[in-house]
Order: sequence, then structure tokens, then C-alpha cells
Amino acid sequence: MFNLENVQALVRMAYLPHASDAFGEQGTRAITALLDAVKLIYQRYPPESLRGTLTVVVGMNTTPATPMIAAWGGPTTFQRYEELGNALAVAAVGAHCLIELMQDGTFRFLQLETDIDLQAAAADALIYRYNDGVDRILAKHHDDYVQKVSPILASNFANATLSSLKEALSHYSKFALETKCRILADVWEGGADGPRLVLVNRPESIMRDSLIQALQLVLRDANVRPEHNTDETKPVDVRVEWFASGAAALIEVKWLGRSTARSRNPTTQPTYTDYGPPRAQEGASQLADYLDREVRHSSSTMTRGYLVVFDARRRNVQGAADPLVEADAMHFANDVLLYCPDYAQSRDDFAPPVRFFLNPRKSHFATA
Amino acid sequence: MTSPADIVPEAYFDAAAIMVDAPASIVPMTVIEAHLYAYLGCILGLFKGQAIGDWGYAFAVTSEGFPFSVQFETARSVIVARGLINEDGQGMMSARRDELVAEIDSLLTLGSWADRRLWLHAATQCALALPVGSIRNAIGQTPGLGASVRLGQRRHLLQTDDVELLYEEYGIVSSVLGADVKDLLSPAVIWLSARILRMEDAPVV
Repeated sequence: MFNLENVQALVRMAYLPHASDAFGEQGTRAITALLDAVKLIYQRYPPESLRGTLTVVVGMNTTPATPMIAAWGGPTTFQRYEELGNALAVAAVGAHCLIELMQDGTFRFLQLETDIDLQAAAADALIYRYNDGVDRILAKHHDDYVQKVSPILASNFANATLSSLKEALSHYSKFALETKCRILADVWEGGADGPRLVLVNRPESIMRDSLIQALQLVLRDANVRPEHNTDETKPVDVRVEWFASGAAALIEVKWLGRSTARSRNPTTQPTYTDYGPPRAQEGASQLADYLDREVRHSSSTMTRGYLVVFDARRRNVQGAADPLVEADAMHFANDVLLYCPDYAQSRDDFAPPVRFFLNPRKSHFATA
Repeated sequence: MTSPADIVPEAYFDAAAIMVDAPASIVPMTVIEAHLYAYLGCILGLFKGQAIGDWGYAFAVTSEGFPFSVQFETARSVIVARGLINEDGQGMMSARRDELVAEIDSLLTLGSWADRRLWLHAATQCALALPVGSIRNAIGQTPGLGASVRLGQRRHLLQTDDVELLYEEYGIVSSVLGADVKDLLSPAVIWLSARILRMEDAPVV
């Protein structure tokens, strides 16, 4: 059943009814037009590439001859979304870009050095604002922050829909690098805002859940679900199946680095589990073995194995709160894991292994 | 070969309406996304008092975990074959707008389908507020469905226990949102968002 507090929080920031409340039937129509336009803009120029803010407005009492944003400068008229994308691509660093949707389907575009007063502008307009990963929608006195459905999205209105698992894993690697995923944040002793040197005890299920959530969101027409590893003969962590194609992927998750170990006889001294490259090789061999058995038992006609390695290795690591100099903390950042045997070379159903290096927090580096 | 007698009229109307009314930003869409919107439209109709038995066709979950209707798929294929929807080599569909609008106008003279058009339109508009991947996961999270997907089994959707759960959830959303909200999109997006948040709170199983 639903968490009532969650529902109440969603309703407090519910921009859809707020648009109607502010501007009546016109607001109800305008909000879907606004969201559709924002999504179409982001399909031409993604929010993570913006170098400043983006504001998209629908004026309630404007005409193509009297655009609202003319109050802040002389806007350029565009006819197509491609033109808007090009304009955003060449906008100056730190620029405040304004786009107004007109009733005749055209756009007005303006680039400003100083920001506008959003609340004042919202008195007579429905306004979407993007600034540094935060979506807001304003309508009269309503100022709603849009709750993100996933931290791997820069904006709820800009979702990558990818067909290939390789692309999706590459997409995810950018978020894993700085532990931007809320689920993955729990993987660190001291949290994602701590030094990020030592992993928590048994971190693999957290990594798996983070990866599953990300793949569920970005993979098109694919079902992503965890596998239950009941014993060593079934090591695979994630199964991906594409609709009606017979294609499937099996993902094995391994981690490298140091994690806190939970001793059966608790002592005051922490103990650790350390994994290096042999752990990745072990995962590769387990996956290859499992793929052999999958061929015999699965109805899937095209199953491919993926080894995913979360790499949290630090040179000379001690405890979770013992700072390291940058050279040690980043020593493995660009390391290449070598596999022998290299199944990706010797068999068609084994994809090249993927390594996600997890960065330490730079602000916690020790001074040499 | 599909004969006219094999086509469920409601499914034919729905396949046409989804493609013609979908917001520009969510087309072209895939076949399985069209099934998803049809299924979500059916749930939104349920929220507005439409009996499941009166929807005209049934949904099941495929062994890969997708909501799917055989009758909807038959109807969709006929519309593609008639050239009203273009489908490219990657299975991405887009409407031939003028022809499909004329078809919808003609269909509306044959049946009382104005309400279901609103529900289906709201279903596609949900994808303006939420990524389609999160919508699919949100509506796939019913207890019986989750178990079937894990076991790779097909299962009929909207069975009695599913419907009771949906009513309970929608009741909570409606009570918090208040009686002043008349549109269908607002409660639909909050209901889906609440399901997404619940998934984030719960461990992945």
C-alpha cells in the first residue's frame, strides 16, 4: 500500500493541478503543451549539456506579435525545434536562455546575462525552469520542484531511451563514477559525501539494485530483473530480456577494492575484505560456465553474458576515514583489467567486460 | 490471414486513437509502448468507473514481463497493413495523420467511444510527466504480476485482487488530491509517481 506521506508530498508539488488552479482551463491545456515542448527541446539538446539555465514559458495573454519575453530584450523567432537545439548549443557559459511557445507554433528565443524574476513572470505565465539538475514549474503563486524519478536523469523530461545494453551501461558509468545514484550512495562507508575509500559489508546487492533501476529506466522494450543466486552454480545477478526478440542478457556484478568485513567475533579493530583483479577473472569464469548451461536450459535464442566490475580500488588504503593522497586514491582510475582466458575474445556470447571506476571524494584527499 | 470478424472494434479504435492523439514528443513509439498505453488507458477507465469486463478485450503479461493484448495486437497489425500507421524497420510507429484522423472520425460515428479516447489520451500524456520506462515498471508492480515475471510465466492482468489493490491506491490519491481536481491526468501521474516512490523505498526483488 502507498505511503500516505509520499502521496501528500507529491500532491503538495503537483504542478498539473496547480496549472489548472492558477489559470483554469487555459492552464490545463498549457501545461501539457509546455511539457511536450520541453521534451522535444531536450530531444534536440539534452539538459546535461546546458551551460546555464533554461526557462520555457507559455504566456497567458500574449500573441505572436507581442511575446512576453520581449520585456527582457529583442527575441529571435524560430520555426523548428532543431533551430532551438542549435541556439542552445552555442549559448554562452552561464547564459540564461528563455524560450516562449507561441500560439502559432513558432518560438521566441532570448539569451540573457542576468536572470529574470521567475515569480513575477509566473503571475501571467506558466513557466518551466531547469537549473543544474533541478526542474521547477511555476504558475502564479505555485512554485513546484519536480521530484526526480531517478538520479540518473538530469531531468524527468529528458529520458534517454536506449536500445542497446552496451549504450545503457556506458550511460550508467557516468553516474557511477561520482556515485550520483541514490541507491549506490549506500555502498560507501561514510556515504557518498564521505571520502569514498572503503565499501560497506557485502556491497554487491546495492550495486546490483542500482544497476537494475538504471537499466529499467533507459532500456527500451526490455525487462530487467534480478536473478536469485541460490548457489555457486547460478552466479548471475541480473537478467535482461527484450520483447518478442528472443534476445536476453545475463549480467554478473563483481566489485574490487576494500570492504568492511563483519566478523563473527566482534572486536574493536575493524577487519576488511580486499578484492583485486583475480576477483574479476573469477566472475568472468563463473559467467562463462553459466552461459554454457543457459544454452541447454533456456528458451532464449540469443543470450549474451556481461561482466560488470565496480572498481573501488585505492592504493595504500587503510580505514574508511583515513585520508589518502590523490596519487594513491586515484591510482587505479585508468587501470585496464586483463583477463586470461579472455572469453570476450574466444566466444561470441560473451561481451567485453565493463569496468565502472568509482571516484573518491577529491575534497577528502590528504595533502602530500 | 485476419478476417474482419477477428477484429475487436474497441481494440481497433484504441490502436488508432493512441497513435493519433499521442503527444508529439512520445512518437514514434514502439509496439510494446502502444500496448502499455492501451493497458494504462484501461486502468484509468477503471478509475473512472469503467468495468473491466466492458473494456472489450483483455491483457496478459508476457513471459518477458510486458503488458500485452492479443486482440489489440491483431487490430494494430490491421491498421498498419491498411497504411494508416507507418512502421519502420526498427518497429517504430508513427501515424499517417490525416488518414488516421478520418478513420477515427468515422469510428466515432459507430460507437460510444469518446470516454475511452479521453482515458487513452491521458495514458499517453502520462509519458509527458514521467519516463516511459518508469511507467512500465510502475504499472507492472502488482504482487501477482511480480511473481509471474520472476518465474517467466504468462498471466492475465487485472484479476480481482489486482483491481482491488488499484482501487485502494487510487482512493488514497483521490482523497489527498481533493474533490476540486476534475481532470484525469493529475491523479494518474500522482498514482504512478507514488508507485515509483514505493519501488524506490522497497528492496529490488
